[in-house]
Amino acid sequence: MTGPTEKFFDELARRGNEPLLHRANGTMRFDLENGNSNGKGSGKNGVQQWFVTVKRGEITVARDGDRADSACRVSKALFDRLVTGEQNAMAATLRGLLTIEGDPELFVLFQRLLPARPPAATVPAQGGRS
Amino acid sequence: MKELPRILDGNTFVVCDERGDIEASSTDPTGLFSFDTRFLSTWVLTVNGDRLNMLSVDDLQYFETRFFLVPGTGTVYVDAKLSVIRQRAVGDGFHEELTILNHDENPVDLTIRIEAACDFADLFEVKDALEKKGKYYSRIEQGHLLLGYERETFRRETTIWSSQPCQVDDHGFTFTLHLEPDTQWTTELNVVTSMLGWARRTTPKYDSEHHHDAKPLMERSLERWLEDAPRLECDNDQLKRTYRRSLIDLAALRFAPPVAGGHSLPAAGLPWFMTMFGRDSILTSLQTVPFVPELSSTTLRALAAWQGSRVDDFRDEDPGRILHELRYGELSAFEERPHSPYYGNADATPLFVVLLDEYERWSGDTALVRDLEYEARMALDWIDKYADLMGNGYISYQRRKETGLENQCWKDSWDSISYHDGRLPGFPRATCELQGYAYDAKVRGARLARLVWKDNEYADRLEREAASLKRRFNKDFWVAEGQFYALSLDGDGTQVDSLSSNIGHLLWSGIVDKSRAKTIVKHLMGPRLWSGWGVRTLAEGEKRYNPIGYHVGTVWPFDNSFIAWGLRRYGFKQEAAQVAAGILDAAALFEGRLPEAFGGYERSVTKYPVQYPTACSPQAWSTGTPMLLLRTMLGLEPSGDHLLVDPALPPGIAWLGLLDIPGRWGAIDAFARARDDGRPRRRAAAAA
Repeated sequence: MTGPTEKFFDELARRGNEPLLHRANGTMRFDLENGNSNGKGSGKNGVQQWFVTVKRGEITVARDGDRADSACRVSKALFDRLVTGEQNAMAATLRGLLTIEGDPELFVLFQRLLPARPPAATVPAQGGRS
Repeated sequence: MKELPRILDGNTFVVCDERGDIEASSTDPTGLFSFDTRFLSTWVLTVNGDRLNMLSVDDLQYFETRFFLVPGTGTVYVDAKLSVIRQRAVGDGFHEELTILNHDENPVDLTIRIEAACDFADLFEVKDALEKKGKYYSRIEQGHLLLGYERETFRRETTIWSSQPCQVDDHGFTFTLHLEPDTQWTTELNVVTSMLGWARRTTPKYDSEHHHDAKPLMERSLERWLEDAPRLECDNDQLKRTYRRSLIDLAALRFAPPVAGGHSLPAAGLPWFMTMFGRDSILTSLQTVPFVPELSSTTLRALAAWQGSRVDDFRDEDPGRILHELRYGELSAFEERPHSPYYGNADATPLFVVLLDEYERWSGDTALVRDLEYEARMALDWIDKYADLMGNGYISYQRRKETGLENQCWKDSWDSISYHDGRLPGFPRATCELQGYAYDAKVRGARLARLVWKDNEYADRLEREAASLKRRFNKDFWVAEGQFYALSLDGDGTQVDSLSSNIGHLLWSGIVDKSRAKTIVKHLMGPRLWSGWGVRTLAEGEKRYNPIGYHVGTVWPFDNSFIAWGLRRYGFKQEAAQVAAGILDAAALFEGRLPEAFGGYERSVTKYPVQYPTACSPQAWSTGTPMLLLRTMLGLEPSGDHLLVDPALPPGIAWLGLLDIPGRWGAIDAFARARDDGRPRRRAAAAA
């Protein structure tokens, strides 16, 4: 079964180059815990891992790896809602639902790939004259 | 207004009374604050049940204060046979050394009590007096008192302990002492704050068990900061004092955001604004590039990392937009406020490009310009793609949600933008200085495109757009009757026809037609805008003019520093010197620390600048003001690998030298001397 998280990483892997991450260098590990989106997960056995490595904007996604520059721990249920924009990553972090270890800058750059809250907001105005 | 003692480090700070006590109500900004949350709201010392009286308070450093106290309840210090010293330094929380000295010939038995409590208020709650939604808890573990607050998974905790044995209860610490004659007793009290998740420190400044180790480190850091800054020599001691005060305050306002790899940028001001603000951090960086260029590079990097990437109405976010304000408190966490981060400003995005160019011209750091090419292009794209709300080719603003900001320019109070007759215009609003910033961003962006990004086509396009913007602006914003630029266009594109200080920013941006510069300068230095101390935010004679109205008549030092820069840009050296002199005279009367704003009263009437009653001091862009004024008096301007010096000193300064100005030239000195006939003598800069 493919959920929003799987779709998100799958799409990210196919993206290849992402200009929003052109200043990023390093590997982010995502530890997605089973359990509900309002609490802690079910421990080590219930953790799904994703490794996202960025080199000057070139992205590779893997399900395993050894070292990471930053680790993000969050419930799988909440991550599903982050990648669809139903929840905001920074606000969730301030609420203690998501913890970052290691380089926080990688995560700040990464969270810019997440969408805004649906229904999709509209552009406030037409482009100006040129 | 008497200032309460304050110490700070980054976004952690303590505001207390003159005894060192904290007794916060829900609405006043005393307490220990960190990451926009109050971590201690009660901290009261008693000896045998009595409060203490203050003998003196020494501000040792911006992060350290010492209080000399004696027991007694009245106003007369009778029989002071006991003295109490509290020495407190802020760090990840604070460290307090409490010493009791017995001067009597007899031994004494004492009960020392420290009351401690915390309301864990969000700074926004303190500002607006809101109720808490979560629950409080406390624990005592191995002599440590833990105070906590919890709302769902949101948790903030304060841990307090003493180095000396004591009784700990849920409300504080009790020490029972017996002091022999001429002896003393000391304990160390440690207060450590913690929040889960985001701001968990990965590299703690120091072990919380060894709090005092941090102090020498912070002292060394301040010493190095002062040593590294250019040295000012001049015959005016007040100016030297103002410069030193500014350097120290700027050091105090440094804030290392989690994204900057330990580097610092200027936070906006104490106590309400100890966080990253797009506009304030950029304008302060622009003021201080010639003195501390590293603030600029950190500001650029951190704001780039947070640059908007999506359209989010709640946060007023757009792709390419530079953030307005980032907050870490409870209301941001639960999205009751949009500051995670909030993007609702219309000026920081073009100013981001302006700063990138100005920084490169001083530092020669083309590597950063290359590194931020994508972000700079996104910022330039934002101007035309997202900021032109009316489709008329001008930046305008209108918040998309009730929780957003109404006025998204630097004059952000509700009544700051008004017509001559006092009516408030509808939205969107296109204030004039925004168009100046957009023009300057395009011109400077073109220079960077040619020089660093090697994209001449893009540079040509930006220059064409800039020229067209300038042409249209000079037509659409020109108030023919008054002969000045309108404060704004309203939602219908009609001119908001007030005379304001904003026209000075237009000079700085270079969007003013040369033929009109003299007319604009006449307004700035004329009786309606010029108070004798500086240029008023709004001219006398406008319906909403009020000499103590926040943005409608007061004089803002930072505003004046950019106006002085603008006057220099159009060759009005003497007028720039006059602005510098007015503001620096005021600074001397404020003991070197310029307030955010002071009254717009005529100087000859009040003789003394009347401080605007605000709690925010020091304020970053007021702190940066003397530095920008030094730059304008010396006429410093980078040109290739050289620094041009073209001084114009006001009366009251006979000679002035700024030594070791850092930049692409290494370090260089600049000198100025007034001539007998009052005109300045030019001295070439010499490489050191």
